[in-house]
Amino acid sequence: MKLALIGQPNCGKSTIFNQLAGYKSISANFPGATVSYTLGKFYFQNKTIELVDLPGTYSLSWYDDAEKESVKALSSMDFDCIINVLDASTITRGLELTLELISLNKPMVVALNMMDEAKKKGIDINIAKLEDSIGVKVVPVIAKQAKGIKDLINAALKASPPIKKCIYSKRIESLIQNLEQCLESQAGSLILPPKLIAIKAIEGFSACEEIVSWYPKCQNLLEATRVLLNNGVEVTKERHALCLEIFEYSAKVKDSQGLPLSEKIDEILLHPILGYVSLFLIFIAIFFIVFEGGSPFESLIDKFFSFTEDYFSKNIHNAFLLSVTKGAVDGIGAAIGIALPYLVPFFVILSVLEDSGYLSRIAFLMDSLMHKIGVHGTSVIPFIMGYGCSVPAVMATRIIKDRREKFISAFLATLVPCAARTTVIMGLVAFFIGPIYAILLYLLNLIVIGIAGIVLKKFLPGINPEILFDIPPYRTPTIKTTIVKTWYRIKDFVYVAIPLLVGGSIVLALIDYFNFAKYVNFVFMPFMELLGLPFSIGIVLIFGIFKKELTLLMLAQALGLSSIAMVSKVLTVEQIFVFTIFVMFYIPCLATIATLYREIRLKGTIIITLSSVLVATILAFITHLLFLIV
Amino acid sequence: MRLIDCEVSQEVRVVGFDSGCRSKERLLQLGIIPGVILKIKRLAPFSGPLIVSIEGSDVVLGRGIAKKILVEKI
Repeated sequence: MKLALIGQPNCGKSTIFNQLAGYKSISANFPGATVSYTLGKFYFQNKTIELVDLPGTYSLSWYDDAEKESVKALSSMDFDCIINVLDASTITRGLELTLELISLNKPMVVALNMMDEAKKKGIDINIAKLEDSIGVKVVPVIAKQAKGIKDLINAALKASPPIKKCIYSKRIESLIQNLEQCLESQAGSLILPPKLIAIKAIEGFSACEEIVSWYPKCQNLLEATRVLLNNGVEVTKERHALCLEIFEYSAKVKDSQGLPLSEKIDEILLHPILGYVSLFLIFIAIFFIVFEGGSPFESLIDKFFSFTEDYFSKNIHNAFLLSVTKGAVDGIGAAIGIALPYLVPFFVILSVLEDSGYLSRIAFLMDSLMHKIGVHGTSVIPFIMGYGCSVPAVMATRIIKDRREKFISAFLATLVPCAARTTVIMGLVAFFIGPIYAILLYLLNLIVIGIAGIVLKKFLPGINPEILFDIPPYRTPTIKTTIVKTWYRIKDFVYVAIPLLVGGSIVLALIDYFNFAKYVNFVFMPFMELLGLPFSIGIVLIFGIFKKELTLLMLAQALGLSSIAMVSKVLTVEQIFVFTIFVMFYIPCLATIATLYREIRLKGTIIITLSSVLVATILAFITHLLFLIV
Repeated sequence: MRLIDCEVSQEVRVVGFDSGCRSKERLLQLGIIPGVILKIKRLAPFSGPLIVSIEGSDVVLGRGIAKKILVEKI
């Protein structure tokens, strides 16, 4: 049994998915949070059921890569039932997709989600009437609270194709049918049902027009039809009118009293002046929460691990064994002691930002500024995700339609210091020199991103696309989702990064033991000389390519120190700055490079990788020079 | 008249789109369809985008797009 979840962006598909198949699909409160489909399995009444969470799409004509993924999956995978998720609070718009799905003529059910929000808006939907007007079984659910999910699956298992097949007026329906029959007779097999291709081609969706153009006879028919239907607008208008009609027939709207709460919040957060002040304050607050939440733990845990190491030094007498054990303890200590204390508060905040609906509002506020660097407001989403991890950030560029803009966004998103690099900034600059200098580094980073954007905009000519998306309502993030989401992100760190760190630490200890490091460091000597860094940390930068945290965690070891807390005794303030700035920009980690390759192909990936090394070197060198002058 | 020329909180009806409006498909998907009534809710400063409300949902669109949407007063 294979079920698909499909619906418009931000209607709660991933929330339903996660309720059924465990937390696998990152849900968030902005359109386009899911950019590729997620597969899950669950057991229901002793049956194994496969569930596919598809990226949200407004209609079956795709606009960006994420939507294309949905339509492709919908037509290529053989689903036993389509679960169409509808946001009850914006039902008129959502019905447009429902009507298109009906023309696929496959078993389907409608999951009417966010019934609670609709009620708050004063919308009261009569389920029986809605079912009657669309000819599809409708199950009301509140996905966030897991209400109605069982009924939904029960209905999906028994689902049948829609009862009503004709949804347009007789005149339009017959014109569609003519084209459909033409396609059926001319074409062997098509990637989409011929009826859908016919409708979409008449409406002027280029991908479907192209398919029709392969068959000259149908192409002539299409042209004639489009003339008859005012370039296809009549189809769109009629479908929209039908949606309104269904809404009026099946729903009652009560006047809500006064200004809704979200409007009041928007009065401040989207205000021409107060909006930017709030944005600034929110970012400063986030910074301090992450730093203040992290640093006490860092010193505490560091003490514990120094103590453990002392214990081992006294009790293990075999030099080889000692260096390996020390390597392992260093690795674990560094991972738990330095990275986790900063990562946990950061991921909690990121999750709240995503689920509250504020991200899209930042996009609105920042749009005109973003235009100056060759992208538009929507790119704020990959940028902010970039502070978490570059991998989802690069993936989030899928919601950007324009190729050039997607490249610029991916490029700039990789320059944003991810959580791993944040641990380096926090653990070195904020910890040893002062939090205010760490803030300055973040500002420097923003300036560099700005300049990089302006340069890219200049060298990659093209039309600047405009912002266009729907703003989600404010929603209160649930504690459960926040915890689960934070864990989901930390899990990667625990399962992937910690073994890598421990392994890396041991390898480094071995390299040290066999005196091998000097060869590696020898190669980097001229480079380190240029930046005024100690030669012994050349090897650290190599490890950093695997995982950025490694650069901090292995620094102490490479310098021959027993703990990170002693770094300031060996490195000067200048060297800490130079090192941190270099690490902040140089080469994306392997996982990011792999993701870049998937999203923007080889050439773009090479350009981004090489330029980042160049940018890092230039900035680190300038910092070195500045210190020489001062 | 064009959407960009409308005042904040003025209700207008969509008449059509300028030829060469590259975002027409998405506008239609977001419910900005000829015949629909919409209202500018908010304008971002520094010639930033605008928020319009249509049938209970809010859409953010750039000024360039707002220039290409033809509307009439009601």
